[in-house]
Amino acid sequence: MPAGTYMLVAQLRGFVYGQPRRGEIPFPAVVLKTGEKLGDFKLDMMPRVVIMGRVLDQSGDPIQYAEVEAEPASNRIATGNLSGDGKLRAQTDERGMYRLSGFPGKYYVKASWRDNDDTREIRTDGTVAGNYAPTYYPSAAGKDDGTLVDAAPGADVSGIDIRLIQSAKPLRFTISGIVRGLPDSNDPCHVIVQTGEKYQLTNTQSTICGRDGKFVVRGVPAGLQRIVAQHSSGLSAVTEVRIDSADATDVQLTLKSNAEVAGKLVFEGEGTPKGKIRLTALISGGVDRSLGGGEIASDGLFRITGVPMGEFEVTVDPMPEHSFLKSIQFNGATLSGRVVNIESSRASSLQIVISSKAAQLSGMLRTKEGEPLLNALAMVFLVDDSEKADIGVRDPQRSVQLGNDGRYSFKAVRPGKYRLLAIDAFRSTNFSDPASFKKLAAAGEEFEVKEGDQLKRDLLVSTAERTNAISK
Amino acid sequence: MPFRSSVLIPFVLMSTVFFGQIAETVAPDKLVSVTGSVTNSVTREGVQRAHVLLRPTNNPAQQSYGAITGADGKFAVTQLPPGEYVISAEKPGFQAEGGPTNQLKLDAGQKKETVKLVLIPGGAITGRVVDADGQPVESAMVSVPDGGGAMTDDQGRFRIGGLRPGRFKLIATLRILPATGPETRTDGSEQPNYAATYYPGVLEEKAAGHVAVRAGAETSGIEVRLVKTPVVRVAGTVIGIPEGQSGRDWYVQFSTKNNRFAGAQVRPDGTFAAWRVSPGRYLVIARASRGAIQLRTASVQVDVGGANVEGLELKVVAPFELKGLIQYDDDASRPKAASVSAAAPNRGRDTIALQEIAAPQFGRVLRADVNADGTFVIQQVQPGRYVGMPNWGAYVRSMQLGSRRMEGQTLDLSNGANGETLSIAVNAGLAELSGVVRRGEDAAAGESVALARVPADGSMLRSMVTGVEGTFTFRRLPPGSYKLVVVDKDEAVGGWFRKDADDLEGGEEIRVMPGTG
Repeated sequence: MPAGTYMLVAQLRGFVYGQPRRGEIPFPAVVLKTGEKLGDFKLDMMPRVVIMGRVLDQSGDPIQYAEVEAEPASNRIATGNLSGDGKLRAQTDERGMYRLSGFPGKYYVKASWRDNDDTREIRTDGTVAGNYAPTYYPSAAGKDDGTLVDAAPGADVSGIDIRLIQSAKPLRFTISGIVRGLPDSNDPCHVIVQTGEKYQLTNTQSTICGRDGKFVVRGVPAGLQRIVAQHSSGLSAVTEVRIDSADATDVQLTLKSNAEVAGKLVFEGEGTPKGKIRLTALISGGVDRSLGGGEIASDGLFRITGVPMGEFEVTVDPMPEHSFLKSIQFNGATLSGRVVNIESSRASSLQIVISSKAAQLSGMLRTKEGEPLLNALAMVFLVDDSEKADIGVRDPQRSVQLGNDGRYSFKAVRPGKYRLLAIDAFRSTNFSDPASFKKLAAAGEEFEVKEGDQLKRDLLVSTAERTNAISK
Repeated sequence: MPFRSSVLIPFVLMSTVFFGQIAETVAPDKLVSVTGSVTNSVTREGVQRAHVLLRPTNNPAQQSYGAITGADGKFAVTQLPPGEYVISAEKPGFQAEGGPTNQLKLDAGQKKETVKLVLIPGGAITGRVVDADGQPVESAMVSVPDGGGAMTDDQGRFRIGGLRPGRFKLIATLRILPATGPETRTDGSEQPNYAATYYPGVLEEKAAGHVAVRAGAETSGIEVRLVKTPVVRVAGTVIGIPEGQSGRDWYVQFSTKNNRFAGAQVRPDGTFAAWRVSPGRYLVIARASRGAIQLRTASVQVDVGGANVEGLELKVVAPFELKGLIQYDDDASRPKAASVSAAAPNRGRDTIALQEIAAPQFGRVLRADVNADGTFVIQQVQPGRYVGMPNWGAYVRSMQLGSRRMEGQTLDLSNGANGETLSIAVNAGLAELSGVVRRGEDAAAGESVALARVPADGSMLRSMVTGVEGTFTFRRLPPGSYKLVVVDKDEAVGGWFRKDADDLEGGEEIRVMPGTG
């Protein structure tokens, strides 16, 4: 076997395997150094536990399709279960029954249920339509009021019945209002509601508005709502509404015809870059199918048509090698970032300056003993604003994967002040949570990068004990 | 207007679209009420604590009304506005019985009484999944065609409940994640690999045994023995991924007619390899899994058996504009003068529809208005094969794209249109096929009859239920060969929409000559 870090999977029907967590990796692992021979390596498998029970409504009737989740009271064991968080999950059947199986331990067992029917129903026979809050075993709103289920190795713990509790406030809301500026045409007008900051298919819903422009969207969960009207003639600006405990009525959306953005790319370097100027919509998953053009001509001019109202991120695709985006002027004003806000249908102008004098930054990642970190699952982050640091960033100018030789390199760094952060999945802790990631990002020493710099910086990662001695 | 396929259309299509309207206030004396009962189809007794729901027919987003049945199965929904509703009853473990009573037209002030709803108590299948040595298999997924399924426990046991009575073909799948090649083993042992296996232990759906389920009863002791097969990989290349997009953002998806799936991530260099693909016939398509533009390839059919499949090529074609011209064989094949009414402004337009076939999103339909001179334009066409369907009394006789002539209604746009104009010859000679179904000497009412094109050209099969005299009539048929079959009503098929002549067992082949419309 080549040296390296391996995930360790042990399978035997009716048994589970776990080991104390290293870093935040939820999988059992084994680290093999070059030439190492691990002898007498013992793997202790444990008989699995089963937790069974029913999910019931207030009348004691079974609930089908309830989601049941058992959360371990302590998450110090890497069990390698698929979700990675140590939670066991199942759904109830038509008898309201569920069956969870997994690693032995103490669990909080929670059931949640959401009626598939998003429309609220009126009852006049005195009964109440189900509006159930997530409920902990046996019938508690919060984890701390719930009862821990202790599941010893090999045990079948049955009778863990959860009676769902009625939610104090509605879980679903209605948004209604009117779309103005609707031309007289047969084309439908859609109103789209996106719930939450980030686009996901599951948090977007839509309706078709009436010929009078009126619309109703039902079954919207609480939270930030971004509402937009769309018609073949154009789009409305995005209206943001925060729904907490009441419906949003009288939302006004005004259709505006699409805009055109034209401008020039100035390249401070050799030749003229080939490619496109892209505008990526910040709402609705960055889909910009309607946009036309954007190709950079030999004189640097470009033109993008069919731009709806809204906020867009500007990118040059592809960026020339070793280049950085120096400045963006939108309608004559210099932007601080790379986001333009298209507010009106008249033509807008965009001037983009890119420079080929980007800095380069590279170095080696070392353990506290000074050894290079080889064959590690490590990422290096280049952070300009720790408040905005995000572990999920995929921009190669912001985060790179450590090479197998322990080296990292950023090939095009924009001048500015930065901090570096190195995370190794097996050695670092407290990085999955966004707040603690920001804290880690803020802890590094700040340094300045100037145009054309070629910097070398070696980094240390905090190293936990990396032995295989968990059950020797 | 180039905006037609705009920013948010995909989400409009994929999320629930309903027609919003503000509810009007109704005077109290105009309000209506509905009372009735819910009965168990087996015991004929009332079903208590069933949920009865009335949904407005034409306006699903409008307020719905509900009630819960009492101990005797009786319910009362009161104070609802007049209008057309669909009434349904539901209770976990029960299946609804359809019927004409489910549509209610309620006039102002009406008190509708004794509405009878029937619930069928669901059945269940229980059993075990075992390996080639007869040992229980844990974490195998056992499923039935309508989408129900269950995972086996550590004793190999499973239970699928809440099933509509009928006959089912069961399939057990043991997924090994991640789906990679065979493990390297140096201790002399061999890692077994099991294919998705039909009950009782066969790979072919046609050879599968049926499991009969009765209402409210459990069919137990059903054992599926998984079939061991070699680890097989399907490998190939995605060609034409645009510059600036890494192959890493592409995904290759495999799907069978029965919605069994497999897949593989594309490597940065455009190559891919899907491991542990169970034997069967697959449609394979590559698509960008992220990124702003919806890009994909046409689908390619692949038969997977006991050996690796190598060198598969999938070509990316950007969504394109298709310009076309309808050529009418004669005056009869022209659309009749359209009658446009305010109530249905979209009705009466002449449109040509292209329905995508042999694709993962089967049923996707592109439509374009046909102008008076026969021209039409369809935007954002994805590569693939399509069936052309005029919405007036005519059928597609042949098509020609550039110099390529295609007989029949199937259009191959796997490589795009290359800017060429599609000409579509339409003919009014639609035919009619009618007959009678008998059991022995007796006319059989309520039987399902299915009709499919031979050879299968990707068009959807048509089905209908025989009337009281056992009669059936299929209207507006393009001429050609068809297979006509009386379908076993009790057999759960899990959606006819992807089935064709190859899936119909028995039956008779019929040649339909051009008719007179």
